[in-house]
Amino acid sequence: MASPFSSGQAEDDLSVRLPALMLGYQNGSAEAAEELVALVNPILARFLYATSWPGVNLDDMLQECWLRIHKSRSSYRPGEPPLPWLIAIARHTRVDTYRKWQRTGGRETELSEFELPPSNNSAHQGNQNLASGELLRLVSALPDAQREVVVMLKLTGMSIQEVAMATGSTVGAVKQRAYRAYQSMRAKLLRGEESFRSRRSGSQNSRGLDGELSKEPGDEVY
Amino acid sequence: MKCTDIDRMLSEGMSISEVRRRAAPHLAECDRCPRVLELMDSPLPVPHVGAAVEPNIANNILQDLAPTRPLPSTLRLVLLVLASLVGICLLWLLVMGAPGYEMLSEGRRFALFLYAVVLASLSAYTLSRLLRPAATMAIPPSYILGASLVAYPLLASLLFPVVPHEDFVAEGLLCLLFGLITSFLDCAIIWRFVHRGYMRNGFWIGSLVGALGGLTGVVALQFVCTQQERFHTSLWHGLVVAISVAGGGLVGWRLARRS
Repeated sequence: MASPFSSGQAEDDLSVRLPALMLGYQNGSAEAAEELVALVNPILARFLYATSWPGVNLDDMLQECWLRIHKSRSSYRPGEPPLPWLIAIARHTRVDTYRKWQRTGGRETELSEFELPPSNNSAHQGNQNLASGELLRLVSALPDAQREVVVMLKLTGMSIQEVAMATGSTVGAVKQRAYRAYQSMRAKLLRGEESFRSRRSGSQNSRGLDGELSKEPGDEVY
Repeated sequence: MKCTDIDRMLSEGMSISEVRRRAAPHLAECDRCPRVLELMDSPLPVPHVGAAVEPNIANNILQDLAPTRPLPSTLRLVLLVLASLVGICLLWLLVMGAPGYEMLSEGRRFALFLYAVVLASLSAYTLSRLLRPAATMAIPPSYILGASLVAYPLLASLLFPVVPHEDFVAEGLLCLLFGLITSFLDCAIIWRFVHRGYMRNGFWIGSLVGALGGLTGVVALQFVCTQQERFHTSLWHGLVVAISVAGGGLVGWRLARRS
């Protein structure tokens, strides 16, 4: 399945509909609330999934995030872009959940490799799925601050200014984080390719790239 | 054009299609950049979310859905905080008169007025930013709280002379009690607006509300307290702010943990 925000039209549609839905939600409209949940939940789920750690209970984190959104819906100011507001709450939810997870013995559980998410949509199969999985692995290897900037820019189609609002930082800082993230991803990609070539020349049976890039069928892309 | 220029264009928020268009000659030569762009153009995987999650979320929201008033804008919150400060001081003025204020010279009145307005405005501004999830913090709350705790004792030690007097503790405790009651009143009023906001950081929010209450307590004391003496004011009046900040921080932290 393609990203709902991959086309410019979808982004425009979202930027027009979301403020109206938020206003309706604040005014107590059930239709607006339902539509808002349907529209925003996939974005929040992807954001939380792409920026969280392996083994996280995404369902719980989503519910917690919506609970916070609902309790603090008064703090949204009509006229402002809603996505930074929503994503900022999702960020805080993720951070608090991580702290709680650490407190409750999360560090003692064995971390599994980052798994590709199951997908029941046939359109999401094939090369696009492989590229998506590889992208996720590259993104997941980034430091936290860089990762969330890349995910926000890529996933939600937010502008640099909106990402700065959502992260509570400056436009310059967001650009710098994004630049470092792309350089880091490029370097990892390059290392992966070189490792793959050397292994392939050494052994026909070898599979995978290296380290964190080698575990999933993303290697078949090359 | 180099590979780093591609990274720079992406980090500026340029769309992939625009990068492809601008960097076409480089992409034709480079064997890595097309791969990077291809990856960045692919969607992030769709995570597996339980089928019942979205309906549950919608149901929970609908069960508790009522019209809500948006949080006041930053400017309105600053004005509301100042109005609350002035209102409470006027109330005490009507009840107890202004013996302390009459003893102050013009210079001292001006210095205390400036202190109250500047610190209340900065505290309310920072509080307003803290209550919004996607607001940048121009001034860290720790700076404001530090200034709140230090400013009054410093100002009092500059403005008032040392005059030895009896009943230092008894009069001091009376002032402390009066200041804390005033602070509590102001905190209760400010909380009516604050509770509509997002509990971004319960401790900082509570501390700032406490600092605003303490500030009101100190200003009210200047109207009613006749002990215009350095140690009395800087210690007992200053303690009103310190206790209010600590109490507010504790309450905010507890509330945030409970929620």
